[in-house]
Amino acid sequence: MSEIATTEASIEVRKKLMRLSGAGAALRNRKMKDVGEKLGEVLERFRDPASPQRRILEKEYCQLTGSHPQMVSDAMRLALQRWSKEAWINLVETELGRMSILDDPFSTPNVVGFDSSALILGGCIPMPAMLSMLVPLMVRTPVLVKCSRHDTVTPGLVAEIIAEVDPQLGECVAVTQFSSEDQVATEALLRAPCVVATGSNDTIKSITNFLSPRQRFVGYGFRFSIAVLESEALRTGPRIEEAARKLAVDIALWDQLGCLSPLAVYVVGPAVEHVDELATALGEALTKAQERWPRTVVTADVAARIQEQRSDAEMRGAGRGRTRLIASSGTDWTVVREADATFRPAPMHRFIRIHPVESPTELYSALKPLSPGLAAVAIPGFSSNFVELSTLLSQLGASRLCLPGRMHSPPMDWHHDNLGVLRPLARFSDIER
Amino acid sequence: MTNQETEREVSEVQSHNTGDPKREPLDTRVLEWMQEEDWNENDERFEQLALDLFAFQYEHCTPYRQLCQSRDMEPEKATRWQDIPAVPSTAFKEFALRCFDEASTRHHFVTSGTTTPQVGTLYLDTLELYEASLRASFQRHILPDLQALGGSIRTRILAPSPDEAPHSSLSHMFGSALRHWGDTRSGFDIHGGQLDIETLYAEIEAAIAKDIPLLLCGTSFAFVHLLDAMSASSKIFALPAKSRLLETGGYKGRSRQLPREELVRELSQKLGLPPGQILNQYGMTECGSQFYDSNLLHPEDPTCKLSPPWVRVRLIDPETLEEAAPGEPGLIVIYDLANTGSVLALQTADLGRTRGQGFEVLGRITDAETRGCSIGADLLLSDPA
Repeated sequence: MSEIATTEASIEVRKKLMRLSGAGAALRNRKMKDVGEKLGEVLERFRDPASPQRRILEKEYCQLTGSHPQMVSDAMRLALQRWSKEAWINLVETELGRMSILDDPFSTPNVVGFDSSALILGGCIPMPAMLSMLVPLMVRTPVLVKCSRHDTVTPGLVAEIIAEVDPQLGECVAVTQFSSEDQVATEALLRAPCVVATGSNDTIKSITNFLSPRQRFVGYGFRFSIAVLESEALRTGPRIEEAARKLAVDIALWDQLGCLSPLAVYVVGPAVEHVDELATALGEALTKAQERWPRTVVTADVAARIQEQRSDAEMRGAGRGRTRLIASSGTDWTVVREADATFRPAPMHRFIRIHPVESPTELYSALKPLSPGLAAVAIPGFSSNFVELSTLLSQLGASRLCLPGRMHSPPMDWHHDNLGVLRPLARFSDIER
Repeated sequence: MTNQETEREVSEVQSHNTGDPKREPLDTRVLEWMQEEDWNENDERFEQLALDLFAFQYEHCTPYRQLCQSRDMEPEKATRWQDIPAVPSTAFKEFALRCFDEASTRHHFVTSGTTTPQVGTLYLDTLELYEASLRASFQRHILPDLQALGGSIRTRILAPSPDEAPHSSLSHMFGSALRHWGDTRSGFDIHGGQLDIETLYAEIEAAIAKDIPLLLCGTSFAFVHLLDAMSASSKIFALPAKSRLLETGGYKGRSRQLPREELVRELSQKLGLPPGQILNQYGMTECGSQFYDSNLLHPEDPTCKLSPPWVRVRLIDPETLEEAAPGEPGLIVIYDLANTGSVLALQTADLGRTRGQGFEVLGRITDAETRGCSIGADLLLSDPA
């Protein structure tokens, strides 16, 4: 008889999955409408800056990550602006069906959940962590959440809110945390019939190695975002300043570490002088952003990476011209006005490159090799070629086009990784009569 | 014909007169220093040579001059060697950083690209300084007991020969070491990209049978392949006393990665070598001189990387660009007088910190670890997924 390997964490995971599976029976008997309403209340509580959990979250998150409290507070307020209970109900109705008929036993399709699910979180931003905890519950599936090691605060607080709003729903959520090196615990977690994971491509690949084809798996890889501006649309000073101010918000919030943070700006069109003007204006806007939202202190290797890329830009600028470096005295922010569309390393932490591209066709060629990783694109509404550019960017796989300054406030029904929010986790049962 | 004789034929160093009347006196002064028996950290001598070399390179290397001008640093303004602007190592990918005509290029070494397809190139019009620096440092740190060894050591090299990898500075270095100090049964054990494990085992066993000290040199990943092969065949050796091992070059995704301590422990256990006889070398294609662990030279002190007297290393706080506090991480910036034909001041992509009489390399700057869910385009492009 073969022995089952155990670690402390794996024992805990197995116990929690078993408990959740038991609690799932009651959840499956609940009305969808009721669950949806309760989860909407959870959202409202999370959204309320005065709620105890939100206050704790902001405080502890800043302690954990070193993020500036004002930045976290403003970023959360901006992100949750549109995440109301009403928006949640709309999301449910759009993806699953009208609330009024979801619980009708004769309606079709029936939405059925799983016995249990495992949610493996990655990254450090609280909102996607919170939303992804509500999603399995909405399809009446208990969820065991493995925290990201970069945010060990949010899941526990969300679980607490859920339990306060609806103790029975609270029974259907559990949180765990263990090292990704613990293969035994990982295997135990990945026994859940439904697995949702966010992580690097390596993480997603390694998870799939543990899964059987009979399991439902939804993987969200790490992504990057960009901004696309038309040089013609930047022909006036106020437009340049406005674009720079809004882009600085997108760059500065979450220190450019989110998948919705732009890592590069592409300026399309022949008027290259606007590229220089935009670089200058963006430097000024990032200086102001730094005053309000001081960037998190970075480790030596991050700072070294930034300096390496600054020196590289400086060398290229000195040797060939056109490339220009505009930067803070420390490593707080960096703008590199590039000479062309060539991809270059992205140190993040408020390091932005501005690339001139002649035409939408050149933009397409430049982005094509990167398209599997493209998430969102900020593109101003005043672009004269908006339709052409937006079509092209959608074809490249961008899952979201939005206005500059709005990158960190996606609607709740944003098709993250081009997928739905609730549908990937639901099992649909069609009834034909 | 033995491996060693083959190497002698193909890699004989060609002494070269650069023909540049401004350069030659500089080369001569640096060479004289490299050939002195006693290593003397003469700061005044270093500073004068460095400033003279800076003036020469400023005049003869256009991309470098342009960088200096953009930093408003000209030879007349430089009063200390620390004033000399350093080029980032990435610049070797974009520019031909040489102080001679393209037609005078006699050799070039290329970097082993890891995350990007673009490689850096070091152009050389002479290998004389490169060789002189290499010989002096290698002998001092790896063979301090050369005389007691009888003037040579059996050397097996776990890297391709310069024949197979003519533009690898590492192969060149090993080839040079083998030529100068290898005995008649010394040679390379990687052929066609494969470790010739049977030959290597046979050579190790022959050395053990006759109690002849061995010098094993190679890349870190080649040693991991050796360890894996030894594990698979349950092989364990007890190398003769005075044997030693030199590993360098990192992994570059070509084998499983082992933390340095683990690599040393496994090598020590499987080869019967005391950990103090296992050394690491830090070097880079763009730089004419290398840095070796202090183990053999100063076994009683904590291990650190030592520099030859014609080299200075600065550790720069990456946030402030001022000198890093002692023991704190800093960007490694190298000032190497051996680089007369290229650029003497080089900002590496590595972090280090001061340690003992030298420094410790903390590793390469990478962006593999980020807190967020964003991914850089460079990582995305290097990811086969």
